[in-house]
Amino acid sequence: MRIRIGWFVCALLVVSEADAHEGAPLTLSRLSDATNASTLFERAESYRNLSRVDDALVALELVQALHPDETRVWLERGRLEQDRGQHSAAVAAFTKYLERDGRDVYGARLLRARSRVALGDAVAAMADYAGAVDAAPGVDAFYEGGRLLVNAGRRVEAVAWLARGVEATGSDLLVAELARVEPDPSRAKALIDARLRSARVKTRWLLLRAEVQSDASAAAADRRAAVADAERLVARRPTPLALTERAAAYVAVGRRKDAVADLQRALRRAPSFTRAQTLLERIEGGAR
Amino acid sequence: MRWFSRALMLGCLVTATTAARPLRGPYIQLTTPSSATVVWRTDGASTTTLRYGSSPDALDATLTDSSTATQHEVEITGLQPDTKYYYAVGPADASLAGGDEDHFFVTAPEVGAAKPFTFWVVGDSGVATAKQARVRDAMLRESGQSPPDVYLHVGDMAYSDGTDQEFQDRFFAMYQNILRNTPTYPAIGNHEGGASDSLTATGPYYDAYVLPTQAQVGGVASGTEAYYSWDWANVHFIALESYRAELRATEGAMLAWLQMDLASTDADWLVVYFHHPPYTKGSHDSDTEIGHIEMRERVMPMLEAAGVDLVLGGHSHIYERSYLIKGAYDTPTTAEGHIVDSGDGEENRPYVKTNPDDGNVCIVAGHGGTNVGRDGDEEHVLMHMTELVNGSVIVSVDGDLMRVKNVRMDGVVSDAFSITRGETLALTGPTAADDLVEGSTVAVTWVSAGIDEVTIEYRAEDDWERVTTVPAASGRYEWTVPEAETVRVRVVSGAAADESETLEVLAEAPVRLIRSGVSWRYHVESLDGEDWTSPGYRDGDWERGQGPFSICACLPWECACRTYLLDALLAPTVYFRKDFNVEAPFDRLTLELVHEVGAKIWINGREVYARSIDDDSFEALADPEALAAEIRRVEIAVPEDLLVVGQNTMAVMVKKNAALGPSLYFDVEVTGHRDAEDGCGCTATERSGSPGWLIVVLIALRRRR
Repeated sequence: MRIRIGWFVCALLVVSEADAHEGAPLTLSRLSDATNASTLFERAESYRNLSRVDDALVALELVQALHPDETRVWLERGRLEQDRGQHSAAVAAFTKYLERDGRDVYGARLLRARSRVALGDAVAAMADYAGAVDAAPGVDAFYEGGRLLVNAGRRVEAVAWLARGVEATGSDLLVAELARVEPDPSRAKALIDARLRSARVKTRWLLLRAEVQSDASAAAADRRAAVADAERLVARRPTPLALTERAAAYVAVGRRKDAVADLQRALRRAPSFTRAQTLLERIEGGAR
Repeated sequence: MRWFSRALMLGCLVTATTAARPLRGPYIQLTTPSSATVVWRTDGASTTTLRYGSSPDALDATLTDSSTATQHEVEITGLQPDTKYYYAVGPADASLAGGDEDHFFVTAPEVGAAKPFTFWVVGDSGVATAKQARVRDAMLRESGQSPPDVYLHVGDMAYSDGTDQEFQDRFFAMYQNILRNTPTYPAIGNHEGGASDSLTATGPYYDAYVLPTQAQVGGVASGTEAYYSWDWANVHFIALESYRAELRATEGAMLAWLQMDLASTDADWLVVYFHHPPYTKGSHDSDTEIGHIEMRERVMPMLEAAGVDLVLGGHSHIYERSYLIKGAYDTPTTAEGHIVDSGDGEENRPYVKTNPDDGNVCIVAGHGGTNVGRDGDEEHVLMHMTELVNGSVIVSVDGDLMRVKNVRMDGVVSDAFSITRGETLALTGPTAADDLVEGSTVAVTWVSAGIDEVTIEYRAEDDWERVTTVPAASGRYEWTVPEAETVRVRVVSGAAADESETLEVLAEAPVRLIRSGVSWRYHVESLDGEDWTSPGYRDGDWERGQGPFSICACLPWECACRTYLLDALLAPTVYFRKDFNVEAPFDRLTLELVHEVGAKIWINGREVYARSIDDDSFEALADPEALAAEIRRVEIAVPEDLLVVGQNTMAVMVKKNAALGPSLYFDVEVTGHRDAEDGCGCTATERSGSPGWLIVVLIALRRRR
């Protein structure tokens, strides 16, 4: 009897383990007969992972047909339209989602903002970034919204926006963006100084401080310090990235030839390193 | 995180504060050179008190919060770097956990310090099965007395959706004994992404962890727990979020932050980890799936330009390890021109990086507990090693040497390699885990690069004695251990040298009195009131089986055991007995023991070991908080008449901590030791004034090479 009970419990355990979805890769064939919404969403996600956007859209249309109350379909549809560059359709889908479902407001508004940026509708995009951070203080929305405002020349709004982002997240990325647009040099310098105190490599922060210094000699000193710091890094870790950082410091002190040499050396070692490519193009473009 | 705490607190204010019991933890989170965070959760709202100090008996400092909560997070500040502290947690009027040798943390070394350390890498583990437990236990056995300082998880720690309960059952319960003294730095997987949102950093994953979003220990502040960086000694670690496509956007914040962070570190080593590896042909294909493709095409060029050394991922349920590679960003991936070193990187053939950007090794560690597998037979062109066996990865960093090994769940180290920077010489053996016996040979092993010859020396007293000079490339020398109490061994080449710790020399080789895996008598019905531990007890009608013994949540033939105790599925207690023979007295006994959950051991009717058992009666359960597979060293003084020359009997009681719970495991190896005599004819234990008999219990089976 004990053994029978034992086998029964064992069987239960086996079944429960089988049910416990051990993360076996989701195969499309396994889902081929699926009709419930979550499985169809998984199917759409699997197609999306394989970059088969049209097939994923078919799966979502099936969700829509079988489960018309399933609002998430609009969010997923928006993502897919965005993937294939159909930004108007993406905006429409995200809008439908936001009208019907209040759960993922941050994500939907962040994504709709991106599509609106792609469509050139900066005002509506900014409204979406604002709506996103009202829902949740995410770094992405603050960062992208801040860049949008800076690129649009809306500097005063950018300062307020980025300051709010720094306050909410503490992101150094936002600190750097804020310091660049902060009109008060002493406040910008204070932001940078706080980061400089703990930074192990100071090149970028020193170059940034040089940009915001109101005193020319202090700015020059910062640029020289940036070069020294970059040279220390290159001596310690002569990576393509370190060479590129030093090139940026050389550019700041007018040593264009040295900068080009560093960037060419960096690109010989890392031909796909876009930051080095971009900086080299900028220097050479400036020279022309 | 704080929002979560408050929400739980408000929701539980009606609960009586005195009834709170620990639900999760305590566990160690963000640890810096001057601070550490201890987290625990209670089933009812209670006040928060944490006591800590330099020993379990001297928890002199106290932090309290009189408000009530169920999620308790306490940051201790003002600590010394690289220092061990013990702690206990609970409300002011009670201790819920801690105050013993098991509850401690070690603060991080100073950022940049070349302090040797080890980190453990696990991926795709969160299923709470025997396989996951075996992977964990194999790591603990392999680590022996030097468990990892840091635990990295590369995602999928709580299948299927990363719900709070799944986190509890499949992560915290499985690793509790590790998490209570080892800080964890995870990267989110797609399964955690089911219930947690990385865009807003909310959900059970983000509730569970306290991560360095503000550059608390090196790096650049990311402002989000979805991706972050941190330093431990001379290594800079970066955790990325590879699941959400929105975060992989080229113009997005994560990659902009990554570029900034990479430019801001001067650490000796750079280790980056995320869930979707850039290269895999396992249960996922990095040539066809967008998550892998984008991480490869967008992130790898940035990482390689910064001189990344090691890239760790999971997702694909397999172990894969690349050669030293560089520049392989194409889709589909090709090998031509991208393999910098096609060697195996194994000991004494390490990958040598003269420049930091000379290449990196990519590891797919998606084998931490889920069923392994792959679609098709094709191996990835960049991989040196592919294996479909569950396991985990242990990485040791010592100055300019990084050593990596894959430890399978059966305890086999199936892959090992090293990365060095230029000229390197590092002694890798013997260690304290080896038995050094006078007159016998032991392997002296080392890793070298850029060195022609090494001289092996030892020191038993004041001066170093030369043993021999051999080609460095050999990496190994069989050395005859001299007559001495202790020795140190070193390898030397010019100015480069590396030496062992002080190693004890044994007069005689240890004698295995009971080997692991041998036959035992066992019994699964009540013996309450019977003198079953005594040598004379008649156990002839008991069942017979070979260790390891186990019950687990898997099919019997999948269990990590030779005897599956099916009869004990419903029994809270299992009894074991084993006779063993002693021909002459020993100075010490070593018990290398694995048990799940509680255990008590008697030798010749005398109790010599007890763990997590308060009540010996058959129906009583082990401590519900106790878990298996911990590393512990307990020395128990026992009287000289414990053993007799001739037949002796070991009796063992093993208890589950839930009546219907499937978890039970037992095996033991007993070894007798005789210490070397010094000039006065005294043994080591006699010299130290300790009793003549000593039992050392190691709750781990030590794997011998």
